[in-house]
Amino acid sequence: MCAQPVTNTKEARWQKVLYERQPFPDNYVDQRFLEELRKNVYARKYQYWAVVFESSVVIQQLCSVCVFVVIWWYMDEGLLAPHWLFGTGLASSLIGYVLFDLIDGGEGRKKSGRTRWADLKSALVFITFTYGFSPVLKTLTESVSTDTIYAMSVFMLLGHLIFFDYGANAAIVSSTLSLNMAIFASVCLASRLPRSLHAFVMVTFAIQIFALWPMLQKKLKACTPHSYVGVTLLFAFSALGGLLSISAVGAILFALLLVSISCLCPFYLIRLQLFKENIHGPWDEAEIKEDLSRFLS
Amino acid sequence: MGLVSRGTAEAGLGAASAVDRPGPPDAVPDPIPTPPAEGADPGSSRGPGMVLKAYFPTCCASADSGLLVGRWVPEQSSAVVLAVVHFPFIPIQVKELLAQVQQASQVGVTVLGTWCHRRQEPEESLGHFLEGLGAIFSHKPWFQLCRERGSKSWSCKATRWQGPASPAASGEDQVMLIFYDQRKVLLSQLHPPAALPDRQAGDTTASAGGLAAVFDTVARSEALFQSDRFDEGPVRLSHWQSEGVEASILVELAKWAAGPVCLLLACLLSLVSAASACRVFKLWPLSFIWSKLSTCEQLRHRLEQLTLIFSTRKAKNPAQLMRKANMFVSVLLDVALGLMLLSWLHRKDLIGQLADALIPVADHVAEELQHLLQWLMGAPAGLKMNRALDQVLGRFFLYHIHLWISYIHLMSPFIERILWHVGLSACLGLTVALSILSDIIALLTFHIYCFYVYGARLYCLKIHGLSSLWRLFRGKKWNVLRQRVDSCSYDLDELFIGTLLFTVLVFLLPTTALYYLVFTLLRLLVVTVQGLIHLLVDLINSLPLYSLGLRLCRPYRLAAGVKFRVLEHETGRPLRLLMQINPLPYSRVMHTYRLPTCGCHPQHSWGSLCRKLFFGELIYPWRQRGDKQD
Amino acid sequence: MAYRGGGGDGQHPSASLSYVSPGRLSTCRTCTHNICMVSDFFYPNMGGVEGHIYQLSQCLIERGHKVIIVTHAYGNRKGIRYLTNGLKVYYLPLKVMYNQSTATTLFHSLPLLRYIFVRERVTIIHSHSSFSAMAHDALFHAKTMGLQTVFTDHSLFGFADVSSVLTNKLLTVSLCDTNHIICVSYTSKENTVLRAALNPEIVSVIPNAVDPTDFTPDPFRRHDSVITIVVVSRLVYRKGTDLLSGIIPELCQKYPNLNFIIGGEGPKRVILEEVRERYQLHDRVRLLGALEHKDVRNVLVQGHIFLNTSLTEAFCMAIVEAASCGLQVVSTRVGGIPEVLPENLIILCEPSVKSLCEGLEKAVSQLKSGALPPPENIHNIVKTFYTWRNVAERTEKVYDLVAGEAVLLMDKRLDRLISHCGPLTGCIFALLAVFNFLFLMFLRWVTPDSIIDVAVDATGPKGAWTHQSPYRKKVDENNEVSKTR
Repeated sequence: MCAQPVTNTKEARWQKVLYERQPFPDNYVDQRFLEELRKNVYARKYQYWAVVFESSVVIQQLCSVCVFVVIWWYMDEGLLAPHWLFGTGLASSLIGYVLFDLIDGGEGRKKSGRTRWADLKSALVFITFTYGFSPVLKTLTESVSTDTIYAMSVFMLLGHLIFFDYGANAAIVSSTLSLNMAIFASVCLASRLPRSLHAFVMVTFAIQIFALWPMLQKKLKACTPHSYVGVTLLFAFSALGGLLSISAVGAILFALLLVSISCLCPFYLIRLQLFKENIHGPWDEAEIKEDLSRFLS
Repeated sequence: MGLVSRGTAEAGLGAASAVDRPGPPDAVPDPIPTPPAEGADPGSSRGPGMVLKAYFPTCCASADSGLLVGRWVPEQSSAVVLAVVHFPFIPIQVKELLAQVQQASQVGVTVLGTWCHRRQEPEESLGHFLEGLGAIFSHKPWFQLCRERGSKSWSCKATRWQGPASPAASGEDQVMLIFYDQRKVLLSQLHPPAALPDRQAGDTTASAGGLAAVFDTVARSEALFQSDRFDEGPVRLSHWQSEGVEASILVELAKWAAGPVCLLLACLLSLVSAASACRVFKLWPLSFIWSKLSTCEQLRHRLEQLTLIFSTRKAKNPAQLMRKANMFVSVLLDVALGLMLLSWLHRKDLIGQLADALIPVADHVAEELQHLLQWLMGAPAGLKMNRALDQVLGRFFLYHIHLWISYIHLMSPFIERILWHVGLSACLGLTVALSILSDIIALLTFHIYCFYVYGARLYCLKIHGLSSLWRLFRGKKWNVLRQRVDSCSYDLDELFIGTLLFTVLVFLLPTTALYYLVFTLLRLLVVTVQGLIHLLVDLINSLPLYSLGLRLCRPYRLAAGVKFRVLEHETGRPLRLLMQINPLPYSRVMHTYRLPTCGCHPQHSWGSLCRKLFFGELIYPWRQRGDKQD
Repeated sequence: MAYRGGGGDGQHPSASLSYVSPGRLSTCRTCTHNICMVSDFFYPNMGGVEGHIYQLSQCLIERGHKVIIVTHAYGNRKGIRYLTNGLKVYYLPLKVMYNQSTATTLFHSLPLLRYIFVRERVTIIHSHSSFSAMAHDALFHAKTMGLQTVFTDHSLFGFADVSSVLTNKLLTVSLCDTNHIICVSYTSKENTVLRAALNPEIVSVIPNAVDPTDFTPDPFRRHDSVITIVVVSRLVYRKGTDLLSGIIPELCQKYPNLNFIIGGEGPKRVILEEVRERYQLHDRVRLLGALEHKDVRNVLVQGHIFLNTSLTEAFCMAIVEAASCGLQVVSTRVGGIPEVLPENLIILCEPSVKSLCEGLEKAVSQLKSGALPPPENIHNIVKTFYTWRNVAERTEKVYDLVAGEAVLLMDKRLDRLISHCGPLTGCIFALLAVFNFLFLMFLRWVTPDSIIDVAVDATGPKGAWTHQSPYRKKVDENNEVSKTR
C-alpha cells in the first residue's frame, strides 16, 4: 500500500473511505456506524376523510357493476322495455355530454384536440356496429349453457373491478383490459336476452355505464368534489334500491360491503400506519423521480 | 497358369499364417494402417533403422528370380512392387519397357531391387550377380528380396547406397513386407473414411493418403499388366494376368457396339426432350398442371437419367461410372417390373373390373362424406356448436359433394378407356404407373382437398384474427418494425369494436375448428396413402442396385480400407503382413451411391408440421414447391 | 491477472514469492488454510464476482494456501478443470434455475459438496454472492459438517418490497452461524448488518480491487478536438440507463462537439436506440454492444470523461477502472460509490438528469480550461488504491481469525437458529438442519470419510506436486508456471 501510513501521533479519526489504509482493523465499528440510517422517510400521514373521499371511486365502480346487473335482470325478466331503456340512456348520455364540456368550460376538449365531429363519428360507430351485430350476438351463445355464460360474466366483471384504474400506480392496473372485460361480460349477458333489440340496448347501455360514465366521474371528481360526493351517494343509493327490488339479502350484503370499503378500510389503513417501520439508507436503490418519457415523445 | 501359381503362393502364405495364428490378435481390422514408424523425409539424410514398407503382390511369390519393378512412394517410405522381370534380360530393354509404361500410365515405375527365389541349392554366384545389378539400376533404397526354399523363410534387405562407387558405406533399413492381392487391389475402389472426430483428422488423412497412393499406383499401372505371360516379348514379366478370355470377346463386342447405339439413343432422347421443351407446353395453364402432376415429374426424371446414361461422353471417374451403372440397372428393373404388371393386368382383364368398381367406390366415398357432414351439422359428439354457422358450413359442403357426384357420373362412360390407356403407360416402368396411380387418387379425392382448403383458410383467418384481437383485448399491439409486442393506447371505439369481434370469434371458433379438424384428418389420410406410393417410387428411383450387387458378389471392389494379418513375426526376419481389403458396409454403399430423386421428401419436421396444423396453414408434405393440384 | 506482476518468467518461484511480500512468508506462515471458494458465478460467466473469486484465489495460492473453487456446470464445461497455478475448479452437475443461479433444496448438493470437502481436506468454506443458491447451500452443509465459514457479500438490497423481505429473512438464516462476513464497502457492511441482523464485529470491510496494469492510460487514443463521454455498464434499469437516455439529448443539444461511446448490452438498449433515432444522433452516440473484459480498456482510453449512472452499487469497479485509465469520473452518489474514490478524482451527483448534467458540464468546463490533471498522474494515484495482493492479505487475516474460533455444536447451533431467526423461521430451519445432519450421518455410513481418497494438492508454488522430490518439484513447477502464463 503506497498510501502514507497514517501517523499515529495525532488521534486518527476514522473515515468512511476505502482508498486509504486506516489504522483500524477491517472489522472496526465506529461511532458513526449506521448514522445515515433513516426510518419512514416516505411514510405518509393520511387524513381519515380524505381517504374516505378517495375510496368513493371504488364505490362508484362497484355500484356501476351492480346497476348493470340489475338492469340486465329487469330486461331478462321482461320488466323493462328496451325502448324505454334506450331512450333514457340516450337522454342521460346527452346530458352527460353537455355536462362534460360545461364542468371545465371546454378546457379538456381544447387540450385533447378532439372535435365534436369525431365524437359524433364514434357514437355512430357504436350504434351501427352494435345494431348490426345484435342478431349475431343473439344467436351467438345459443348452444352454450346458461351457467357457463353466468360464470364467464362474473369472472369478467370481477376482472373489470380488479384491473380498473382507481388512480393507484401499480403494474396490475390496465384500464384497457378492464374495459374490454366489461364489454365481453356485457356481450355474454346480452346474448341471453330474449330478442336482438334487447341485446342491442344492453350493449349500448354497457358502453354508457362502463366507458362513458367513468370519464364523466373523473372530471367531476377533479373539478367539483362536492357534487361528486353527492353524485356518488345518489348512485350508491339507487344501486342499493335496485338491488333491494330483486333481493333483500343481496342488498343488505352489498350495503355492508360498501360501508366497509368506504368507512372501515380507511380506518384500518390509518391504524396500520402506526406500525410502519421502513428502513432507509444510502444502500437504497435510487428512484428516478423525473418523467423521462418526455425525451422520447 | 497364373491361377495355379497364385494358388500355390496363397497356400504357402496361408500355411505361414496358420503357424503364426496362436499369437496375439493377428487380424487387425483397421481402415488406417498405422506403421510403427513413419519416415517423413526419404532423403539420404535419414539414418538407418527406419522401417520401410514393401508391398509385394502375392502372385509374384512363386515367380522366378529377377528384378523387382514398381514404384517408390517417398512420402510413405514405401515401395509398391508391381511385377518381377525374369532372367535373362537385357537391361536396356527393361529400361525401354519401363519408359513406355511410365508414359502410358503416368506412374514413376522404376526398378526397385532384385528378387531371388531359391528353388534348389543356394547359388552363391547368383547372389553376387544380383548385388551387381544394383550398380546398373541405381535406386535408393535398393531392395534385395529373397525367398528360401520351402517357401517359409523370407529375407529382405534394403540398402541405401551412399554412392555407386562405395557400396561398403551403405546403410541398411528395416523392411516390413506386406503382401497384397494384385487383382483385388487393381479392381477395388478405395473409399476413404468419411467423417472422423476432429482430433484424429490430421493423423488419419496422412495414413489414408498413403493407402490411397498404393491403391492408385496399382490401378494406374494397368498398362504394365497388358502384356500376356506367353508373349514372346524381349522382357519376361511375372504379375497378375486376367483369365476368362472368352468372356472378354463379348465385352469387346459390346464395347464396340456401345458407341453407335449410344449415339442413336442420345439423338432420340434429345428429340423427345426437345419436344417436351416445346413452347406450347410452357404456356401458363399447361405448365402449371405439369408441375403439379407427379407423373410428369417422374417422366422428366427418367428422361434426365436416360440422357445421362446414353450420353456419348465418357465417365470421368469411377464414381460417375458407378452412378451411370446404377441408373441403368434401376431403369432396367423398373421397366421389367412395369412389364410384369402390364401383363398381369391384361391377362385377367383386371382393367375392366377396376373401372367397374371405381365409380361405385367414388359414389360410396361421397355418400360417406355426406353422412359425416350431416353428423357435423347436428351436435357432433355432444359439442356445443353455433347452430347458424354450422348449418351454413354444412350446406356449403353438401353442395360441393353434390357437384362432385354429378361430375363423376358425367365421367363414368369414359373411365374404362382412360384406365386402359393409363395401364399401357406401365411399359414405361413401374414407377410411372405408380405415379399415375397417385395422381388418380389425387384427382378422385379432389373434393376432400377442397374441403380441407376451405376449412384451413377459415380456421387460419380465425386464429390470426383472434390472436391480434387478444392483444387488443389486453391493450397491446404487435410492433412490426421491432418484431415484438408493445403496449398501445387504443381509442374507445377501436376497443369496443375489437372486443365485440373478439367475443364473436371466440364463440364461433369451436365450430370452425371442428370442421377444420375433421377435414384435416381426411386430408392426412389421403396424403399418407400418396406418401406411401411416393416412398415406393423413391425407393425404386434411388436404390443403387448395381453397387449393392457388386458389394454382394465382389466385396473387394468397394473397399472401405484394409486390414493387416501378421504372417510371420520373428526377430531377425522381416515382418510379413498380408493386406486384406475391408469391404464397404452396406449402409455406406447406400449412402455413397444413392441416386438423386425427384425431390419428393417430407420437408417438415414433425414439430413444424404440428405447428402448421395448429395455425391452419396449408400443408403439402410430399411436395418441394408450390401447391398441390388445384 | 494479479499474478502477472509477481515473478518474471523463469524466475525461481521462491524468489518471486519473496518479491511479493518480503519477510512475510517466514513469520506469518504459521498456518496455511485449505480454502474452498463456493459460488454459482464463475468463469466462463464474466462479471465482478467471477473476477473477484479468481483474483483472490490466485493471490491466496501465491501466499501459500491451498484454494479450490466449486461452481456449477456451464454447458459442456463440467467436471474438474485446472486454471493457472493449478487452481482446481469443480464444475458440479447441478441444474441452473434462474440467472445462472442453481435451484436449491438444501439437501441435494450435500453428497457432492461433502465428498469434495473431505477429499480436499477443506478447512474453510468461503462463499460468495448472496444471489448464489449454491453459496448458501455450502454454508449450511459446512456448518453441519463442522467447518469454518466465511461469506462475502457483493450486493446491496433494499428493505421496502416483499421480495427483499423474503430474501433478507433467508440471508438472516444463512448467515446466522457463519463465522465471519466480508463486505466490499462500509455501506455494504451497514446494509448486510441490518439485513441479516448481525453483530457488526464479525463483519469486515475489504474492498474489491482492480488490476492497474490492465487499465493504463493512453492519451493518444483519444481525439482532443471533440469531448468523448464513455459509459460502460450493462444496460439495465439498476444501472440507470433511463437517466442516460435523458442526459444524452440534453448535453448533445448544448455541446456540438460532444460524443458518447456506450459499451454494454441489456434490455434497456432499446430506449437508447430510440433516443438516438429521435434526436438524429447516429454519428455522435456509438452503441458498442456487449464488451469482453479485455476490450474494456480499449474503449475507456478513447474517452475523456467516464459517466456512471448506477442507481445502486456496493462497490463500483467500473469507476476505478476508468480512473485508472486516466478519465475524469462523473457518478451518482449512491451506495458505496462515495467511499471508492477521493473527491478530487470524482464528481458526485444526485441520481437525476439535471444533477448529472450539471456534473458533466462541470467536468467539461474543467477539461476545456485544462484544470484536470493529466491521465498519467491520475493513473499513478489510482493504482495505489486497490490491489489484489492487499485484498488477499486482509482476507488471510480473516481466515486466521476464523480458524481460531470454535465451531458451534449441533445443539448450540439449533438454539442459535431458533433464537436468532425468529420463532417460525428458526424452528423450520432448525428442523432442516437436523434433517441435514441425519442425511450427513447416512452418507458417512454409506461412504465413510476414511475411504474417500485424498486429492493431490497441485495448487501454487508452495504445495505443488508433493509426491516428488524437492529438487524435481521446483524445476517442474517452474516449468508449469511459465507454461500456464
